[in-house]
Amino acid sequence: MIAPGAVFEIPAPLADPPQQARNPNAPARARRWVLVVSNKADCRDRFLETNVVVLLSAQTEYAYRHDVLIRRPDGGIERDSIAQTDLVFVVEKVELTADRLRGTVMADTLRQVRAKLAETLGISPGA
Amino acid sequence: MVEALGSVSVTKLQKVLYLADLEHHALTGTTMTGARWVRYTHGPMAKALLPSTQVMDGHEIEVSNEPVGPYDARVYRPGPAPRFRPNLAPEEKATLDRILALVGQLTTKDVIALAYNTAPMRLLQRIEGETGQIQLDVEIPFELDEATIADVASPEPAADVAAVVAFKRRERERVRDLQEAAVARASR
Repeated sequence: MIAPGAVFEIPAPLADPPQQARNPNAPARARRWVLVVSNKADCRDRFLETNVVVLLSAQTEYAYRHDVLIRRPDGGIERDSIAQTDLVFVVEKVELTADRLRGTVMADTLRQVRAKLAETLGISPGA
Repeated sequence: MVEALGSVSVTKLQKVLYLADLEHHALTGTTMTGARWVRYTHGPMAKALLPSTQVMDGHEIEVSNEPVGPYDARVYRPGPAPRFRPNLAPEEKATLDRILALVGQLTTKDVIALAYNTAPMRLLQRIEGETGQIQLDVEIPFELDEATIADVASPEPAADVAAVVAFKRRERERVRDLQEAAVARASR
C-alpha cells in the first residue's frame, strides 16, 4: 500500500531503456530505492497518478547537507542509507506495486526527511 | 513487550520503549508510557521503568543478571505468575507491534543506533558536539520544531566537496534515467 514514508525498490530494468537507447554500451543500472514523501491524501487519491519520492542511496559516505541518514532496518532498507532531499521526483503509482514495497520508515524518520525537504525547498521557517 | 521479545536486556528494552513512545508521540501527540525520557550512558532511558520492573519481578516478569557480551546485564523474561495483562488502546497496540516487528530481532547495539538516529537524540548529540559535554540526565525533548529537526537531521559531511559533487552528478543521472524510462513506458 502506498503511504507516506513507504519505501519501494525500483528494479534495474525500469531504469535502463532510454539510457541504453542513447548509448548501446551503457553499463547496466542497479536497482534503486525511493521513499514516498507525498501526503496521505495524495497517496490515496485514485485520480492522482503520481507520488513524490526522494532517492535513497546506501553510499552514506557522500552524505551532505541535504541528506538524512536512515539506519537499517528502518523502512525495510538492507543497509544504512541517505534520503537525498535534493533529488526529488515523481513516480507513477502503477510502478509502486506491493511486490516492490520494502517497508515504511518510522514516523520520526519521515519527519526528519520532510523537515529537511522543507528546508531544501525554502518553505521552512527562516529558510 | 517482554512476552513478545522472549528475553531482553534492560538496555534494549529501554530503547524499544523509547522508539515506541517517540513513534506514538509523532502520530498522536502523546507518549504511551508518560515517562520522562533522559539521555543516559547508552542513550534514552526512562528511570520510572526501574521501580516498576521490581514490582513485577516474579510475577509478570523474571529479572536476572546474566553475561551479555563482555558485561553482566539485567535481563527480563516473561514471569511465571502474571497478575494482569496490559490494557492497550488499539492505536497503542498498533504502534507497539510495528516497533517490535522492526527491532525485535536486532542486537542491542543496532537498537541503540536506531535510537541515536532519532531527531531528539540527534539534537542532544549536536549540543554535545558543540559544548564538548555529554548531556547526561538531560531530558530528551520530543517537542521539536521543523527548523530544529531539519538542522540536526543531516549527518556530518565525511567526504570532501569534490567527491560529493561527483557523487551527486551520478545520482542525478540515475534520476534522469528513472524519469525518462517512466515517460517512455507511459507513452507506449
